[in-house]
Amino acid sequence: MTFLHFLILSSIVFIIGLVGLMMNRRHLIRALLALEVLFLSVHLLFVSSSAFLGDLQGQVMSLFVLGVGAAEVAVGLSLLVLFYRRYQRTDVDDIAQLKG
Amino acid sequence: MTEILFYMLAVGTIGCTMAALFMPQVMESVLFLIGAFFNVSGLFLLLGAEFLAFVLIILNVGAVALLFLFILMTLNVSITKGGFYKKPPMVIGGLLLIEMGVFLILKEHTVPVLVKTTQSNTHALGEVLYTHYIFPFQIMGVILLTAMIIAVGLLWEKGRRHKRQEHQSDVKASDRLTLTNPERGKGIKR
Repeated sequence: MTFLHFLILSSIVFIIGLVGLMMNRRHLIRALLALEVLFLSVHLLFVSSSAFLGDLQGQVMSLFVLGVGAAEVAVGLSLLVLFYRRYQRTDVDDIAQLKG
Repeated sequence: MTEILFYMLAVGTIGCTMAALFMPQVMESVLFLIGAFFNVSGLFLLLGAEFLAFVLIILNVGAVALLFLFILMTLNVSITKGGFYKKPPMVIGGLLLIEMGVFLILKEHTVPVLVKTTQSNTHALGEVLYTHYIFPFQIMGVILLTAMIIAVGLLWEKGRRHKRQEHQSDVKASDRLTLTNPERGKGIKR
């Protein structure tokens, strides 16, 4: 179990999240879930590098990423609720009012 | 022995994230996301980052995934038609149970990777956080406050009746409670 294992695992999770984001980008809830998966891979990368380099600052950064991720989810879900209230659906394709 | 734990948790993480993103129902996706959080938290434990492992569970499972579930239930979109499936909760519960069993069996043999210091991980993290990163820490609090204000402000509707606290706190004890000294054998007339 080396640093490389964790790097590979974190990049696999990142790629899964990215592919999921691209495939589900019409559905807003699923896009937010994919963003959570991306955040998860970033946490894994930060913490594993912090552990293997023997430096605690990576864990501190992971803590900050945790806070920012919580804020992002709160704002994103409130936007989702707002959107659903207006259009009664959650497809991103319907947000086309500003299209000129 | 650490390798066994690592590969088990890694396979669990990858499987749970894939299931989370490609399951047909969003509710199941959220459940599998919770499973992925637990697996990653086990990996953090392997790495010796105990504080972040538990904070990940408390914050992401307890707040973020729960928020997703609340929103899903509120919006009434894409809930399963034939009732809630029984399979995904069983799968996740069984997976976590097996992992816990392996952790318990292999407990004597596991060696954390980091932690060569004498103090615990939480202590060391606190020292770094409150000496070098105190201002970013405070700014993170401001960011969370801003997110809260934005979330409330976005969903605030002017005409709608919101539940307020004022009328409750206006009531005093003397409004509801009267002290009387009734005569003997007569009782109280209202």
